[in-house]
Amino acid sequence: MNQQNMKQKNKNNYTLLFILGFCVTALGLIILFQLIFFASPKPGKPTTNTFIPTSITTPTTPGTSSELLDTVSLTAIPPRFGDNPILKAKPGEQLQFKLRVRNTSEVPLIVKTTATDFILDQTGRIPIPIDAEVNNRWSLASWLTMGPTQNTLPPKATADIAVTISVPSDALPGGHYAIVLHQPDIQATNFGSGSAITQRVGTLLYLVVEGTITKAAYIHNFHFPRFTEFGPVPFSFTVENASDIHLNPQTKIEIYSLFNKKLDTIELDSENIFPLSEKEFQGAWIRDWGWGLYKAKLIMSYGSSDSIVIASTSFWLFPLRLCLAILALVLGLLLLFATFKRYSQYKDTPSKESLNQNTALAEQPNSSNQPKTNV
Amino acid sequence: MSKYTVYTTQKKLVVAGILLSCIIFGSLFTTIQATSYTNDLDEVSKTVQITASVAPQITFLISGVTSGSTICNTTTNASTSAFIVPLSQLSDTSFTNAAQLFTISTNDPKGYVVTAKQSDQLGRDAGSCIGDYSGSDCIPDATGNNSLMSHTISDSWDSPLYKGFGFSLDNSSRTGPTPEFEFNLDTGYCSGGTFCARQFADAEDLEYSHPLFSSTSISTNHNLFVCYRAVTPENQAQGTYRNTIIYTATTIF
Repeated sequence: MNQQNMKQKNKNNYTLLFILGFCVTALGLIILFQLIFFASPKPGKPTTNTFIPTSITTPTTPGTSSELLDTVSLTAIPPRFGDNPILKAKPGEQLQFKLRVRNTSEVPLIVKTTATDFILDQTGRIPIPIDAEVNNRWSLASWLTMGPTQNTLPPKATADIAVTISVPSDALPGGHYAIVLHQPDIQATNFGSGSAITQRVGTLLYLVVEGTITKAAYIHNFHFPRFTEFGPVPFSFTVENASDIHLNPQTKIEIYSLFNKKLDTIELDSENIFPLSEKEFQGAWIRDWGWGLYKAKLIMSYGSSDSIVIASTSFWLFPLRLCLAILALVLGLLLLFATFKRYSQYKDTPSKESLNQNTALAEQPNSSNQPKTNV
Repeated sequence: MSKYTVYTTQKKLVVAGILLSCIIFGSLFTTIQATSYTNDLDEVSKTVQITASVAPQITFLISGVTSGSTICNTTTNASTSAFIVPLSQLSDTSFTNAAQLFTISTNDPKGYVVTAKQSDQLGRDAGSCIGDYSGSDCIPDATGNNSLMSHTISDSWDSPLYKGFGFSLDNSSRTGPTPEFEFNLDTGYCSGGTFCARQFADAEDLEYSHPLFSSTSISTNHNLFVCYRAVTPENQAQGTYRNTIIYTATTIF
């Protein structure tokens, strides 16, 4: 009875081991499947380090369902002035230069030119014209005189606009900014209810008034996710411009391995940062796989004297679930193999009971060979 | 063979040799001359430099769209030009839809942005509408299905039961611009709707221009449709309702 129990128990153990091995293997396979189809790096992503996703496209015709009526088109030349090279003036000084506007329409236009100050939106990138007259620390529009402010332009014709900046003698040193806007002078009448459209295209003006200018910049919140399984690894940081002028910092991020070996350098596009403001930058380290702890060093240089600011952080890039899945698969397969092998040996080995029976049979004298006794 | 025949043959050979020599020398001379000429040309081409420059610029184009066009998943029922969006006879039971096409090109590597604002709400005979006033003399800015629409927040606006004036964007041509939102946005308050819309920033209400679409690189003919939509309240006073919408294209700071 005990031997039968033992046999049953062994059988149960092997069954359990089989199930366990199967489960571990299945678990490994499930994690692998999940990683391959849901968590692995997406195909089609850029192959180089990118900072801000951009695209350059070829001209296309608008949707075929829409038949176009008349068009009005204006071109401002250049889109920015005084940014590179920097336009500088001393307090009390006058500067003169020319901007241009082109009528790129197929019809003649009267084009009006005005100047206005602007502020930036919360991203620090988008100039928002302020049509009301303002007189803040950075304004420039009130110092501008332009002529002519109205041009009659035949199709494809270009007009020069002479701009004079008269810097007041008490002007504060630092950056001053404005937009010169061109718009068609069209008086829309007799169209019933609806909206009249004013279309403006502009040139951003940058001026630096010379004097004692503070130049300082700081990096805040340089951040990589603490742990990432697969690339690309996103990062972000904020640059604070504590200067009196706008800055155009040159920024790069160097990635180092655990053993301080430089692996990659991410060059970031330079962007202007308005005085006394902050701008957030985002990007990603384009790398599919990583195997440990990495160190990221952000190096930013700014100003004519190339002042340098450095910030650093560290992060993990390691395919944890993938490694666990492979480990589970290997362990599960080993367990299955070992169990199968042991079970085969167990099956081929005669049981104690049968051995005993065989022994007993062997020891028992053969009844047919026994001498018959006469009663 | 007679002596005369031998003499003639020798003479022919000499003439042929002279001719052959002339041809060879001629060819050599021509080749040398050609080589020399080519070298001269090389010398000349080394000294010529052609310089040209392309002026940095930004071009902003607005085109009208005829009625009957399918834009923003709706069929427009008013034709527009580059400088007028006539909403004709506005209805209080159905939408009036119109559209314009915007095209931007710039060779500035920092890209461009187009911002928009309206002078005021649609006011009777272009009269003033103080703040968000929505009396019978003003067609108010629409607030959408969830009454949450503003110039910064998108809301779905599918039913003419929700009155007012608003707009949406259609980047179906996919030529590169990044719009602030689109008519088919299916997140936030636009979730489940068919026409995601916003108000224009209202200058009269001291709202600053708001970005519509942008790009952060050199851009060639980036196209985008702006779709206008209006439906009047039932008690709207008779008259013409007007405002001015100002679009500004500049480069990124």
